[in-house]
Amino acid sequence: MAEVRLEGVRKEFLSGGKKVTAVRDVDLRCRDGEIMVFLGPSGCGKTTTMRLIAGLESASAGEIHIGERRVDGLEPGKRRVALAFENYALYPPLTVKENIVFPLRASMRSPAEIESRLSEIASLLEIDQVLERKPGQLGGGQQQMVSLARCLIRDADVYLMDEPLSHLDSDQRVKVRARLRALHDRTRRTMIYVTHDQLEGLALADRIAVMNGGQVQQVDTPDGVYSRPANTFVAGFVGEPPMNFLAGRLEGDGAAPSFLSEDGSLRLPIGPAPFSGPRTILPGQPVTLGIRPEHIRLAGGQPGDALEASVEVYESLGEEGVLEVRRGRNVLTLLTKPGLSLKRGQPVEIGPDVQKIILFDPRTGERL
Amino acid sequence: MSSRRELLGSVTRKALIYAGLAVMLALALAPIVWIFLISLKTDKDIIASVPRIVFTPTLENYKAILIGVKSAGGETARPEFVHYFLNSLIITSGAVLVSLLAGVPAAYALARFKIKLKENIAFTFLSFRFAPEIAVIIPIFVIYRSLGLYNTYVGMILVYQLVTLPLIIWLMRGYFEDIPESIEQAARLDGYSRFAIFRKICLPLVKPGLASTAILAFIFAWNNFIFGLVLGAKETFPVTVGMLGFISYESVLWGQMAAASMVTILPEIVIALFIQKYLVRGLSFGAVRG
Repeated sequence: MAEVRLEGVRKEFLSGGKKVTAVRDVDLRCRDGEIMVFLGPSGCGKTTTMRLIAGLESASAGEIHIGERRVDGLEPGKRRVALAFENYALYPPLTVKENIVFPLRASMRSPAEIESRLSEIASLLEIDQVLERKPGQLGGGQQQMVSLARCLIRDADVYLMDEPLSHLDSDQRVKVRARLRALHDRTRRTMIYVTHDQLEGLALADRIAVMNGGQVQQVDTPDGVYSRPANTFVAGFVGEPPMNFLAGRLEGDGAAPSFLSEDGSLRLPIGPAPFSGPRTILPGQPVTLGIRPEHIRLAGGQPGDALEASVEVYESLGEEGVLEVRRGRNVLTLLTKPGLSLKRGQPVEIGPDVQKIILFDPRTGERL
Repeated sequence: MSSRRELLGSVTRKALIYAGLAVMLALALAPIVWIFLISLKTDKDIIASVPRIVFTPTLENYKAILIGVKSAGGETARPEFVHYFLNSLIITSGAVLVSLLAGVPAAYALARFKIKLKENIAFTFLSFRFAPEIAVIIPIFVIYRSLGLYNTYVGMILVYQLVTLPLIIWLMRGYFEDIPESIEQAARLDGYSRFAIFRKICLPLVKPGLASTAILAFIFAWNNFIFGLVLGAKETFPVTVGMLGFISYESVLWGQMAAASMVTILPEIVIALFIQKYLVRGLSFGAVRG
């Protein structure tokens, strides 16, 4: 077990004669014994960053440390990292069992120990019934479990996993996710887990590194990423349905400021917000207001801070409903109870929780 | 009704496919059957003005080329055909072996390594096959004369690389590229060296492709004519050239020539049948799931 440190790591490569920067000066510290999730859309550099740690790609600049050792420049086999590949990387002629113990053969463990580790991991990932089969006889989900087992069975300082559950059915994914988390709580191994699925990331991570455009946007706990997003990208990427953003400016004095949307149709008081950042807010300053769908309620006709709006679209999704409403030129999404009968154009009242409002700088996208 | 019409349609289509296959098969096999029949006939039967379908088969022709005919003095000289046949075996096997030793690692490197001008290098190998052999044979002949490679096995094996090496490099490169790169990366993470990965992981995976490629190279080399004709002499003639010896001023030994042809195609048929399983799998390779 060891911590992983990236200092100014950069990865450039040529693609069709043009220089592309896949990873841009990433500074990152994954603590000893924690699960860090690299979360981001495809092409954000999360997998490349992980491959840099594994040594399958070489960094154009920067340093990578695992524990006390500087590993950039070392062969992948000398870095003491285990990696679960998204596309399985199983060896077709070998059986599932042989595939899993393959990395242990090199390490001269006793057969009894290999056997006991194998049975533990195989039952954890529910592949104990298929150990004698060849990978080609398994479905994608099972192959992925074999690949994951081959990673977990190793003795390594760091365990890297690249979308290891992406080929599983959704119920299976939730189950294995929980087991992975439980396994980690028991063993406290340092794990880095790459995913584009924010739910998976939020569920597994001790801390999340949200990435976009080859840069780390924010490193924080799942709760921190969710409730204190560093910028509009993180705010919009984490959360489903995504956060509402409204363009507008601030009015009023510092004591009781309020937000006025660009078209002037929507005014919201900004309370002494608990999330207000370190920067001072000036009256008249243009801002982007962010509020999550779950922080706007559909008011039942009571007075108060309720705003009038009209229904655009309503989707009843079983456990909850997703409602889009319009006020002036602003469209807001909110979560409601399921099974409501709402028609397009119907007037409704909505009550945003002003305590949960987050303000962003419209130029930089940073949280204010 | 429609299902019946569909059935009828599929039956017709199948019949057409089989008819087409039958025509192709006849075109491909008729000359071989014909030569086979000739090889079993006496000279008289061969030149009969109405070709005889029914005749008394004889193995005299085979005896003549494999064991030899008694000369007037009562001695049987070792037939030249056997000598040429052995030449062909030595040259072709040697050429394929050298090509495999050099070409398979080269193909792996071209498939996996980041090499400057990689595509140009690969293309250069392919360009060996662009010019007809006859176009380059004169300069090669001159070079061979001055280097002392003329009429040697080494020289023949070297020049046959023009036939076998591009084939092996280009086909094997495709097979190596079909192996998911992550399999190799996983092995690298497990601490295997690049060479160990090539030997223990990649080579076993491309074995079917390797077998079919080697056979194709063998067949192409075996059938080559011009290199042996120009760069060899009696000592190193391959069987393709040696067979010209059956044609002389006085007569053409049709029967012996036909028998020699049959013996000559035998190794190819035997090898192909023997590893047919590999051949079929090899040609439809690339099915490593991943």
